[in-house]
Amino acid sequence: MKRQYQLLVSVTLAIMLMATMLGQALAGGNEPPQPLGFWSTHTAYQVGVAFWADGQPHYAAFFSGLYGYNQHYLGPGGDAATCGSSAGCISNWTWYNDVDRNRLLLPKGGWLLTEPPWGPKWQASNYQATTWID
Amino acid sequence: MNPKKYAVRLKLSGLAVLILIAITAGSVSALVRDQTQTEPPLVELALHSYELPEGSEWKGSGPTNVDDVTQPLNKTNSIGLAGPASEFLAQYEEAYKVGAIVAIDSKYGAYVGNYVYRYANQPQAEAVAKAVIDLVLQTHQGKLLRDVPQTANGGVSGQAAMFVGPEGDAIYWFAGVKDRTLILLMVNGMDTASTSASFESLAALMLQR
Repeated sequence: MKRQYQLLVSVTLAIMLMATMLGQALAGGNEPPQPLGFWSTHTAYQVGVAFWADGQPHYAAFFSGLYGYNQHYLGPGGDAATCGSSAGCISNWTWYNDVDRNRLLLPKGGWLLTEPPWGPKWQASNYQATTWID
Repeated sequence: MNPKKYAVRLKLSGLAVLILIAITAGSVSALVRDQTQTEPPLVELALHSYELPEGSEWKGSGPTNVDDVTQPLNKTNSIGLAGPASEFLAQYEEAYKVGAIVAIDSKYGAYVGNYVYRYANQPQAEAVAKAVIDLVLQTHQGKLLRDVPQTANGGVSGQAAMFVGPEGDAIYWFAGVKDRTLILLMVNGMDTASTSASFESLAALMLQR
């Protein structure tokens, strides 16, 4: 009877040990910690007012993520088409709020306000940038 | 005085005070309920997509708050309102915003922003409306376009003004007040007669609220 009890305890412990090892293996418990985010190149999700200053609206292309850079115009004429805007070529356009950098400011003169509502310059999908996605 | 009579009088006085308090509280609550029930929801006062001219692009609408820097009366006061209104410009009880782009002469676009705020009282709403127009007229040496005084029937009163921005664009503002609600309309487009006409027709809609 005592031997049967010892056998039962041993089998139970062995099963628990195997289950723990299997769980660790499945969860990747022995792997080094993974980074929490990644760089992604994608298009904006919205064009609209970014902020107000001195009674005036300022417009931007809104991106998900943070620390945007490497901005491009995907509409007709590509990046070269932006060079006639009041802010020069798109590579020189600035970002609202240097901390977040997820709103690419769009010039009004020679760009947004000279474009009809249905025109490509108002379309968020025509603005591309690289941002850090958490 | 007879102590028994005194006790009865004391009880009666206490009862009278309690009744008075109950009546006052009831009246105040009825007044508040009546005011909130008769006030139209902000969404009703704001622009609707079907009111925009053909070819317009509706960008979106919905409730907003002081943390939203994409609407002009946010807690940072980045728009730059001066005077006493700057102290309570962000103390509204609720707010609603609309964004759209209207076509100008079928070749340009003008951004339309419509912002509706409910303040605690009418003087607050009027002070902020005045501060917006002062900003246009004094800071930017803008032009007063329209001055609609308050009418007896409780309609929208307000002023419209415009200035030309550093990029040569025209920025039109209408600031109207209906009871304790502030209605702001902003149109930003090329400095042309057609942009002015678009603003005028949208401001006229606001005055009919």
